[in-house]
Amino acid sequence: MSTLTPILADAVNISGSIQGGLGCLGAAIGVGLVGARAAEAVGRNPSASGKILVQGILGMALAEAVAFYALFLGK
Amino acid sequence: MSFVKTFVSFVVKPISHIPPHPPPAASARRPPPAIFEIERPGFPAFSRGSYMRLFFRKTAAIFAAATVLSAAGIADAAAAEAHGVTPDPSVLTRIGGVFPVTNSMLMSWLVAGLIVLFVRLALGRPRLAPTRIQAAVEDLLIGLRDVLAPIVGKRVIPHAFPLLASFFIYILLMNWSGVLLGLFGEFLPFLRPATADLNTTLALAVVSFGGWLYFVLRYAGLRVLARETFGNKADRREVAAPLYAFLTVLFLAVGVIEVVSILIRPVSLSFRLYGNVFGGENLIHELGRLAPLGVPAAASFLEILIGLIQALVFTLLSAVYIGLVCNHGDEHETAHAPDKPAGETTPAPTPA
Repeated sequence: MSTLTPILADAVNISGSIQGGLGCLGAAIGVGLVGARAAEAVGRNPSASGKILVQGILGMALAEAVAFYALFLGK
Repeated sequence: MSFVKTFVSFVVKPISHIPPHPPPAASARRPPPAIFEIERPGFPAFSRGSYMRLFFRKTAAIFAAATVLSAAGIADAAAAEAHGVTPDPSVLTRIGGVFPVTNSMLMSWLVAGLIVLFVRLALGRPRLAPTRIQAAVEDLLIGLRDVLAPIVGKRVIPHAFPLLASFFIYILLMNWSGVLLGLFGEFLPFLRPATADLNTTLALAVVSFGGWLYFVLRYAGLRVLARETFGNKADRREVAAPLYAFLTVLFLAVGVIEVVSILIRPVSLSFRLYGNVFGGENLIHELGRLAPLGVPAAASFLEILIGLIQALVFTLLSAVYIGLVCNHGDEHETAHAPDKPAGETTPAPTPA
């Protein structure tokens, strides 16, 4: 018991960082997917780049919000 | 988006590599778009690019100087404080002993005052024959309008545009104020980049939410809002009656989730802006602590881009939220336009 308590305390301390890191990982994957698809779309139809830029920025912003939820609301 | 393109091309290319702007051919000239609803019959058209180029050449020169000099300023700052940037602003004074005045509030007042002063002194009254500065500002506004109009919809954009354009310009300058402050380092501890404070961004998000509520209720109405949120979007003619009833219940349940997602919008708007600007500010300072000379300048350039993108994101999302409800009428009009044949549309031929 006495040896387990500090380990548990450490685990609790770590968990916040893991949760923040996982949130950022998910957001990064989402932003990457949006960026990849946006680049692909511009490659297919270069004349639509303006509209794709707006949609891409919106998609990235919505995906990115997840990271901030994880960072600020968690722990 | 010409404004963004001009700016981005400016940041990416060195100044000396930009070829001189060729004078537009007579046929290529077009009359200036009437953003202030002023027709300029017979007035010689101005070339759009040249004024913007001038405007941004100066702006970019200022920011280049700021980012390079920021290295020196941050070196001082690094010696002064071992820890990173504090997440909270510091209270400078309390008016009447109660109402706190923080350093980020001071910065936001400064930025707002500068915008008012700029408009008052440099622009004055909009003239039929635009001065150089007026042409540049008009170009910025036209670029913004061209981006926002298809999102918000033709009907609401004249009413919503002042709010959205103010969001963009105000937030942009507040974001960039952090990079400019790098110039002074620790010499100005009473100023803090305004959007690197959750209170500022939360206030902006609440204003955005209030604006959304106003525009939606004023130009779409409570009925449209309720139908958009809770209403059954299935077509009664295509769906069997029991399934339709089931879908009504389902859409009602979805509407509850929708309400939660609407209510969480101010939180996500404010967290996004605060997280990006505060994170960038921390990055600059931490890099300044690790490698005081030169390296923070790279982060500052990144921060200029992020400040621009985040200002655009805040404005775009505010516009999208308004457009989600208000732009629906236009869509129906175009869908039932007489010149468009109803029924299935032929898919575009795909290249082999």
